Amino acid sequence: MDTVTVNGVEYRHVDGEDKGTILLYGLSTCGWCKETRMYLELNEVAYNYIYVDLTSGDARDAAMEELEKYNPDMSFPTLIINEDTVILGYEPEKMAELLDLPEE
Amino acid sequence: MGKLYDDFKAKTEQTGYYVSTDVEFVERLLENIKVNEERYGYPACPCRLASGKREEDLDLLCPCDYRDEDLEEFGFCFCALYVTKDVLDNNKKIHSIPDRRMKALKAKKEAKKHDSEQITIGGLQYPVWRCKVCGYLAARPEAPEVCPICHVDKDRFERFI
Repeated sequence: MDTVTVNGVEYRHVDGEDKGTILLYGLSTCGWCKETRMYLELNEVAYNYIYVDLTSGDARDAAMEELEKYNPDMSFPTLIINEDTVILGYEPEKMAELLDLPEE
Repeated sequence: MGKLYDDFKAKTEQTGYYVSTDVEFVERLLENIKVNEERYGYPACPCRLASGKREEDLDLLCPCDYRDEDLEEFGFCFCALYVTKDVLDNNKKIHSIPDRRMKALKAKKEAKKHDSEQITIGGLQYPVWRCKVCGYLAARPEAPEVCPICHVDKDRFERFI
């Protein structure tokens, strides 16, 4: 599995069409996180994700610190596009609009 | 397929709450609560990050302390596991909602600083304990071992009065 490191946080990379740098903060157990991943994969978008619940110690601290910068509520899923646009929760319409994808 | 859902639905409705009709989505959440139970030793909310320490995560044991407020405001809980009867009857669309946990924890910290958490009434024969999950109140020397209404453990109770 390919990994990508951005600002000290290691993400798993999923191949697809390049729509900018997409970082997904999720939990391996969370329903809306899975929906978000399924949506991105259905639309064949390249993205990077981290399942924070599967991290520990310094790696988790680094990930949560980074997440807090974009989302003070530190909720999951959080999707960050090009380090400036943030989508909280599973929001297919917002993803379609911001990533220029066809509506469902 | 379906038995896990049916059992959970029956159990939940006995406590006065309702479950989403999306069987697959619900069963996946239930399986992931089980994953957390095996991982941490307690059924942490599958949609929030658990610390691994039960005493730090009491508010996010499923059903979490935020379920009632989310049902009240949106009609479903953060995970979209529990829904209101209104959402079921009127087939309302279920979607992702904001997580109120961080703000609630901060507010709680503030309240503690000002010591405004607990009401004191003189002359009561017993303290009153409140179940943080369903709001059940019990006037007795100690909180019950298990909430007789929603069946959560004693550590989900707070001293109310």
